[in-house]
Amino acid sequence: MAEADALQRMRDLIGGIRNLPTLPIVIARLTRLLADPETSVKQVTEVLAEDQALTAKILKLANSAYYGFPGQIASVDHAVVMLGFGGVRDVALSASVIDLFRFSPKHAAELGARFAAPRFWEHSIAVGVATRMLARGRNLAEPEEAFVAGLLHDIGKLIMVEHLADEFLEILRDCQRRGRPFVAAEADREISHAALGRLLIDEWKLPERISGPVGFHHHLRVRRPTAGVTAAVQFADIFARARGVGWAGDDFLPPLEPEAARLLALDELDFGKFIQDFDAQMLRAAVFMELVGAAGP
Amino acid sequence: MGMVKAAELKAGMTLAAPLKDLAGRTLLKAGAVLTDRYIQHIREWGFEELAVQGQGEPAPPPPVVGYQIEGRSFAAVAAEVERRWSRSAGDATLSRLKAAVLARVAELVRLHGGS
Repeated sequence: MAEADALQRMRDLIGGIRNLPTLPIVIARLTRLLADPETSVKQVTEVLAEDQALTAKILKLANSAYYGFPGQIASVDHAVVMLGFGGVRDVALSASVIDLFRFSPKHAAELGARFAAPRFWEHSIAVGVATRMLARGRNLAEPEEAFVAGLLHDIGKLIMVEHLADEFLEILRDCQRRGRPFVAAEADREISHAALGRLLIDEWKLPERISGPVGFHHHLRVRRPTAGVTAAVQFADIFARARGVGWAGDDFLPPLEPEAARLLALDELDFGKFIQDFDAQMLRAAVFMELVGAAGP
Repeated sequence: MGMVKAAELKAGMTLAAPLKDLAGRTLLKAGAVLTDRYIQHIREWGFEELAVQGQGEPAPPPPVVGYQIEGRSFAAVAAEVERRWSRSAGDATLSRLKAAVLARVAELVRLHGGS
């Protein structure tokens, strides 16, 4: 079975990479703290105090128009109160992952305009924004966690850039010259960017609530508890492409699975209004593109 | 930059160009922020209107999300939209999404498109 073969191949690949990108140590400690219902604000602020650069980014994001809190959030304590423990971790995570992936100059040159980091992140941010909107409107998950799931949905492609570079280039050529959708072109080669992303997120010890939607965003598993957010990521990916935001390797809409449309009650969604709201939120999310600019190519 | 009548000046407005007398001497520099006292002098000096920053101009268009719109016709953007849907024929939900996207594109082209 091609899918099982692809999954095994991705497991072997991830298992064999010695220098997988790692998250700041603070994120793992926050994740552990979050699992404990006894955790206090003081413990969270003490952990964050160890990483001043990350704290500065959290405050920059928390004060951005995207979150739209009234007044200035001047301290981590205040951010915890406004965003909640999970929200702070998710904002820290969003700020960190954009920094993690810098294409090596060799790969950046080969990929050129075919796959440029800023446009990849623009797509990813758009998927995060739309996933958050759906999660909020349909009460599927914590909005900030849904944003992270959307932001990370294609992170497997960035592993491909560095560790399956030749095949990644062939896939992009297939997409652009032969009009093949990315997912079909990678399946021909027993590659799955979604599985790669899920495996990486598992390595990072982040919750299944994030890894599940990343791993199954093209093939929903309806019985999983994360099916709602997964459906939201699936549609958000389609939507970002439909709206012409960013670039993820090909310019087709991936298939919308009927179960996803049903879980999201898309029949009842006013797309005109959704587009208006999305456009407004995307402009407010410019602060994330500033992080991309700071991270460099 | 826009012209504002002396009678309509308000404290806090910023001069967009230097205010000069007939001999060409500068009375107030560009960038000066008007106070009630300045406004009183300006009226006494007999100026009828002056250039003030940000007055009477249309607000700059907000940046546009998504498809490149500037300098393009609706047909050009719509062709790009159609290409994205070229593998999605027959999906009723996605057809409805396409109609909404095209309506938004048409609106944005009216506001920001053309050359």
